[in-house]
Amino acid sequence: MTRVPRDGTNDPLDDRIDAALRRNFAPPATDELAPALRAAILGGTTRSQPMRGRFMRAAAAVILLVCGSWLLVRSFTPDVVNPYDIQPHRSALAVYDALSDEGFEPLWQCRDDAEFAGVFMDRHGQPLVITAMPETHAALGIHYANVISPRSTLVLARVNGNNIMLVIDRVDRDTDPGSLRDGLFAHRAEVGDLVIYELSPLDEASVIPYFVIPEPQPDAAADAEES
Amino acid sequence: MPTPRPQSPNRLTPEDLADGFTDCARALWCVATGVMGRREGAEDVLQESAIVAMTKIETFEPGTSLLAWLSQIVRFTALNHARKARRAPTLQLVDAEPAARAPATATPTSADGMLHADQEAFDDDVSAALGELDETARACLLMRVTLDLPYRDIALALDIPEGTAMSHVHRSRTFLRTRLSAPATEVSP
Repeated sequence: MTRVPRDGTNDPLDDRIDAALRRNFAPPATDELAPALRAAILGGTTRSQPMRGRFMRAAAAVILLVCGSWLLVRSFTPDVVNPYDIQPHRSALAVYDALSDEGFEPLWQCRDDAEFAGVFMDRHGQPLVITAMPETHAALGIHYANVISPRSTLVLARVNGNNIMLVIDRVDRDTDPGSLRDGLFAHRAEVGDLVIYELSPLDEASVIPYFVIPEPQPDAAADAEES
Repeated sequence: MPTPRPQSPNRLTPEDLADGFTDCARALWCVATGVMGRREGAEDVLQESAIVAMTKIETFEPGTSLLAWLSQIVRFTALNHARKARRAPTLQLVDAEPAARAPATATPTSADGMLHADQEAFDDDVSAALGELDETARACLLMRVTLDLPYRDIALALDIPEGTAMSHVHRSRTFLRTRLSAPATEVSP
């Protein structure tokens, strides 16, 4: 994109203001916005050519047949939750137990801090990273569940062999994550605009203290200043 | 630049709408952020607007600007979000774990490698001053600065004359400059 010259002024303060606006209010890339928008409009369907008349009726019949078959099959199979879809609300305890039953495996692991920070930036508007933890602590990866809101992000960790589940969301969406059972604790903290619940068999938070807001990368800051 | 792809002379299809919305998405994001005065929630507004646009697809008049039509939907949706946010009870923020409070002090550097410890404070001041602008002026400025959009596109997106868009940007810049050079917010070089 060609940069449009600024409007006749050459004030250094303008440059700082522009850099601050770009740092804080630059819209996400089109590629990041597109999938959700297309899904909202097309309902997750793939591209198709316009169909008319009998073709439309034939397609409708096929869709009915497929949907009917799917419903029939589904009624005889156990529920499978696709974690990438919007999920029904569940309590933190229910999610913790379900994950524990399934081996406490994350959906995926971030390659580096930048990717990890990006997950929270994209989902919650604020980056977050985990600083170096002791050898007894291990961050396993990311999972998703509708605990505080449909956008809640889970970080699975293990401390001295104990399964630890962190539920992270924006403070302004904070709600009670639900009741727990004896022997399981929910520790709560806020980091910037985010609230973190740590579900753990341990009676004190062991992973939360390692969550911090990352400092801006010097290169990025320098780029912003230059621009 | 959010120039929607040419649409068929007939009615807008869902595919056309999805393509057009995607093409305009970044400008519409600026509109949502401008109306709400904050970036959080802008993506939610876009998604909700996409659903609304889909339900109203029959009302789009072929030959008119899709960007202007979508922008109007985004503005209304963002206004609703902003109203809801104002009505929502505020939560008292309590640190259950003070150690967890992030070291929010950033130490970014400028192009010359010098540390600007005051940058975060400056950014906060810019955000606060931006919040004092009216919605249209804010959206104009954001589209101009963050997307480098030409005034004709800003005018189209906000359904205002091009001259008004220019005026909004100019006055917004002047306001921010004045506001940020005031002694109370003066920052060291």
